[in-house]
Amino acid sequence: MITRRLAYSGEIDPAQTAAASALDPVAREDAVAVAGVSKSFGSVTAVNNVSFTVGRGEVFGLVGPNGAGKTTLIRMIMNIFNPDEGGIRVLGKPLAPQDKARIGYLPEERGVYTKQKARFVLEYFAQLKGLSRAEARSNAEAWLKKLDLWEVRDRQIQELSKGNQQKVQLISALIADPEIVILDEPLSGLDPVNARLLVSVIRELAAEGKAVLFSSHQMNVVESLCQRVLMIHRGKAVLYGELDRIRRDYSDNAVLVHTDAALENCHFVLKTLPHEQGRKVYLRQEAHPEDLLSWLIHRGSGVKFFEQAPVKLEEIYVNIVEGNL
Amino acid sequence: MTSLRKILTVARYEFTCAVTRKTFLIVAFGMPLFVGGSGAVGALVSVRQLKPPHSPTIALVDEAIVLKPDELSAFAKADQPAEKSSFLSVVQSKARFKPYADLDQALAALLREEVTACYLIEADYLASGNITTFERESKLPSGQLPAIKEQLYDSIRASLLDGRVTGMARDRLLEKPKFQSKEVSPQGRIKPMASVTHKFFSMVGPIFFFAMLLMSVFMSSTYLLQSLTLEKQNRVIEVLLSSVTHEELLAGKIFGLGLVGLLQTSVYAALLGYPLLPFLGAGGWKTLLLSPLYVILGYLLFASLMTATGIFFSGEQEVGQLAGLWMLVMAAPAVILALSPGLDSWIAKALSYFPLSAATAMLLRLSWAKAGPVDVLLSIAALIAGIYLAIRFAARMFRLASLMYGKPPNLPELLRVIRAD
Repeated sequence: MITRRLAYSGEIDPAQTAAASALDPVAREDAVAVAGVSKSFGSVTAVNNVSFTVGRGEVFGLVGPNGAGKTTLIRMIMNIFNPDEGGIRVLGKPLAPQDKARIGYLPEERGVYTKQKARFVLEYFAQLKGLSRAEARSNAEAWLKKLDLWEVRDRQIQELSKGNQQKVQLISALIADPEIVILDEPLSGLDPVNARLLVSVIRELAAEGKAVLFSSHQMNVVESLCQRVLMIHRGKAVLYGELDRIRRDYSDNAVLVHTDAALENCHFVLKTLPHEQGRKVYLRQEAHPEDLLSWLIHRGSGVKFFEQAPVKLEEIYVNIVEGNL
Repeated sequence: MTSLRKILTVARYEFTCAVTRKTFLIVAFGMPLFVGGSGAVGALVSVRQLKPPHSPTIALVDEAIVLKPDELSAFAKADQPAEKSSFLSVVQSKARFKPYADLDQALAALLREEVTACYLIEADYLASGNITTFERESKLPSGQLPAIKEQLYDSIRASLLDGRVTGMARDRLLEKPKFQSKEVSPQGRIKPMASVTHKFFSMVGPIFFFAMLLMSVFMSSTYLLQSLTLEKQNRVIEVLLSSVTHEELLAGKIFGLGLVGLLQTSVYAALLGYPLLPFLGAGGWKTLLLSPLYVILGYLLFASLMTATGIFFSGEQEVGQLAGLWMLVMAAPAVILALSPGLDSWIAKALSYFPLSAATAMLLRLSWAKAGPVDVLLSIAALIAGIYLAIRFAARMFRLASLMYGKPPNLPELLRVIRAD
């Protein structure tokens, strides 16, 4: 795992990027590097001085509540909007219109030509990405077969099931074999089978070395897919870095313990609550889990279970949005 | 991938989708066929009307005894064909007069429906000139044509002149004058007067042609507007903008749907323009060659303006209303010109040089006026300048509003957005 930024400070740290590059040559070049971008619409600031990077082969999570500025941020990376301030680099170069061909994009507001045939639409989108007619046809065929849509290729999209329509939309983002894939709420409206299929496709893309920017409200999926995340709230970045580190940083300093010891007597313990694993033990601010474990061992207490209580990203997200953190 | 290639890809897609739509096929082929078909039906009816109808039989009682026996025997002959006249003039029916000894017998024949009418040359005709006609009572107006009365008058005149006037003087008195109609052009050139038929088509033909061309401009612009709003409605526009720039998308659409308009115009020209060519007035070939150019320029202007205003809407009803509004703007110069002193007046020229009215005014003037090279050049220059400004405006509005969903902004909001941009 490459160590990147551990806490958000508003700017990309060149020294840290260089250090990361030295550790892993594959990650030497960020696929996407956003530096201090801002965008306002009239008096409303949609994105305010946000910076982050997405590496090749990485699934990067972009999270935040509705209206936080995620879509505006993505549209700036897609060169649909121009930032008012800051800069964006794609594959090592400043973002240019021709980069659209190297980025696959599945927008949150998903649309498709409902009265056209699936294959016809996919070939059109592929050609817009710069593929020749023959390449577009060949790629469309391959993807339609891969996602079990070959049988319905010549049906109007409006005749397809909702799940199949979403598959067509996903293919339209991936058909030109992009180096960067941006998926804005890709799981919304998907049934569990198709959601699982999409997750496997995302993992495949990352394994192929593509950079995947994954925006979602579904924190469990973000936790299972992403190595790093950026959380934005009211246009500002409020959380950025490795997921494990974030979880540690925002931990409530509690452990799950199953023991016969009288924990109330331990001076490291603040309070205890019943838990399905035994008890959830909240430690004093200056205490560490190791301190409690040493105390238990020293007393010769029986310990059947001992684990640092995990903090879910969702809890952090809710607390930040509600202003508790 | 070059910008041009993307533009062409979008254009090809838009063209393919538009020309395979049912509405396009109906408008492009159905409309001229309907107009042509209506004309054909009208012509057929006219041709049938030109066929000599069965001559009506008129009972004739000559109490004044002014008709010579040979005139009376000529009346008794079999049906005489109607005189053929021009396409639009009244058919000159010839009647068959059947002499009766007295009015009672004639009226009895009228009631038995053996005759259509009964004409009584009063006994004092020479003094009074009175001829009384009788018809069966009917709620319909009289079916007797002036030609029948004239036919009787010709016979009475011939009988009265017989033996009194001879030679050419008699011929001139009996035959109508042969009028030779000529027209003098403003340049003093004298030429035979065109037939009523020719004049009719010369008047109606350009109207049809103009209406079709204007419809081409309107339909193509509306296709563009519909295409944009549909993509906005379907949320496809963001997918497209992830592959092409706003300008490429707009240019591709304008180009592709412009070709649709050109195809439609060509169909109209082929199906209506060429048959109407002899009737396209002062323009003729010039009209036929320049009209497509004005159609294209008009389309580019109005398509851009419709895009600039329509991109804020996504409801079909709103878009329909907007298209209707632009149709009024497009057609307004025709109304103004119809009320103006003439198609070569200063108003007509001013409208020809103003971008918003230039295409419509010139399409009209090419057929009906003497639009010279200066008029053509100035109007084209005005249109090109207008198109340049309109496309820039449309591109800006498109960039601002293509991803703006929900309620369209009101004017102050719109101005705020433009200022912020």
